[in-house]
Amino acid sequence: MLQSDRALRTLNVVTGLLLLAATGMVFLYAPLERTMGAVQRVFYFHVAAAWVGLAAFLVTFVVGLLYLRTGNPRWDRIGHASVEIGLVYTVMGAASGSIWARPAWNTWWTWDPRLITYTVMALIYVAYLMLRQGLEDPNRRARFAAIYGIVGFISVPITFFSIRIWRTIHPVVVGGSGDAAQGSFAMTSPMLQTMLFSVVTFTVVYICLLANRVRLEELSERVEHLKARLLSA
Amino acid sequence: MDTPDTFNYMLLGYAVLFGLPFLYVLSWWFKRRNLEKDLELLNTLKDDQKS
Amino acid sequence: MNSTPAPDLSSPPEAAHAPEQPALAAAGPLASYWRSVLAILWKDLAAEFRSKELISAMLVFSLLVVLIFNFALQLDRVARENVAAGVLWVTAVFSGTLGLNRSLALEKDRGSLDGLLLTPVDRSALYFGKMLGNWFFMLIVQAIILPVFAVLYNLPMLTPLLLVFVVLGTLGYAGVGTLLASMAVHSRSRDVMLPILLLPVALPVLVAAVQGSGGVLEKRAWDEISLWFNVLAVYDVIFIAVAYMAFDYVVEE
Repeated sequence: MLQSDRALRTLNVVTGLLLLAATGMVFLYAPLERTMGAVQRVFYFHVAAAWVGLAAFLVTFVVGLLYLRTGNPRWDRIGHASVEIGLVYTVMGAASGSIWARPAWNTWWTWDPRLITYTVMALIYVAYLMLRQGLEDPNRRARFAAIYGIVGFISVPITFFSIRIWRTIHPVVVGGSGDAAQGSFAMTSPMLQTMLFSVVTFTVVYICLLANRVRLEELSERVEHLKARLLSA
Repeated sequence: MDTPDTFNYMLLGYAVLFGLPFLYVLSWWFKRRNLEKDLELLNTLKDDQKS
Repeated sequence: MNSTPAPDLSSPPEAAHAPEQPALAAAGPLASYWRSVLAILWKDLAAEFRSKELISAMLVFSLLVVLIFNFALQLDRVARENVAAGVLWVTAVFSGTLGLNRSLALEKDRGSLDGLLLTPVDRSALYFGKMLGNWFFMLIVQAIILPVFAVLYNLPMLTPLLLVFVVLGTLGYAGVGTLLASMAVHSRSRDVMLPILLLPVALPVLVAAVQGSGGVLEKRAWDEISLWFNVLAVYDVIFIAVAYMAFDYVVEE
């Protein structure tokens, strides 16, 4: 993805610094929330992981379309890498949310539309990885993965809206009032700044992970290629 | 209103938030090491074939 | 299947009846497109009516699921009425998965799909043919299961509104299921692959169908049910359109 080693190394360093700064903001800059206490600080990275996880699957959707159009294996590599990273983010978001929910909602898990949708989405992308694993032919694997990445992502909003009709207790962070929702809180501007900075940081972390993952995949393909050539010789 | 002590939950939350990606990147490190070992082996094999 | 006469497909009309070509062109490409869809559908139906293995397997499986639910949930009268819609749809979805897998696996093992690909038929006609066949099988199973269900659960299952939900729900499931099954049969662990691929993607169908038919059974007002009708309709349209466009890439070699 990034062609030169130096660009990749710069990105790694910048990502590390951003992550350090975001961590500093979460613990030192953002104020302590009164009604929930320290656990509210989980919120910043929780939201960032959840949003960027969703964005990672959007990337898979887009590169899936690009792959089907062009047949360039690079789009397939990016799609695959994006699903892996998106899954890590999704699990991070779900686990940290669950830990936050325990003191805030007094339960680890609730059958809330957003939670169910998120879990189903994670299962779709686990299935995506299993599908890849089950297919030998690289061309077919790339095509099928692209199709499933597209179909899976289209089903996510329909799943959300069809489950939404049951009432939600998950706070609505952006847009709309979360007054009725337990565990919501009034965001002061340092809190908002910290949240936005975390989202930006996690986006950069995502790009950095993606670039490194694609690089690893290229190495792996080179090894496979060499192996095949030696065996045929 | 009293602020509840939820410090341990926060600690647990951030342990997960940093731990998971750390483990993920660690898995890359192992994968990469194995691949490089394979690559080295394959290259020596290739040289043997030529000679 | 090898001996199945596949009308229009093995012998393209222009080869067999050259003089008819202008007439065919006059009928329009759409008519010939639907003729190939119907030909594929007919091939599946003819093969099935001879062997009956697909429908009988789906049917026996459905009956078993209905019985097992009755024991597993220890259903008394009130509980039965509350969960009837859920049991009905879990039955439909599981037996549908069974049917989809079998239908596409047969196609691959017998090599008939490769044969069809050699014919000058639009690939999406293949999709619609297979999809309609799978939908039809699911409907037949439902047509037999629903009266049995009505007797066992002592519920009025054969109301027109419930049938609408059955038709729409199975359509969406077969629509996206045919696409995913045609991919799953190529995978190494193909028997377990389809449910894993299909169930999370088809969850909205299950939710809407259960809620909609549950509403019908509880005799709710149309205002409350129409929402689910809309969800199902939207899902059906979107997924059949996506599957129609994506199918070309599944069969491409």
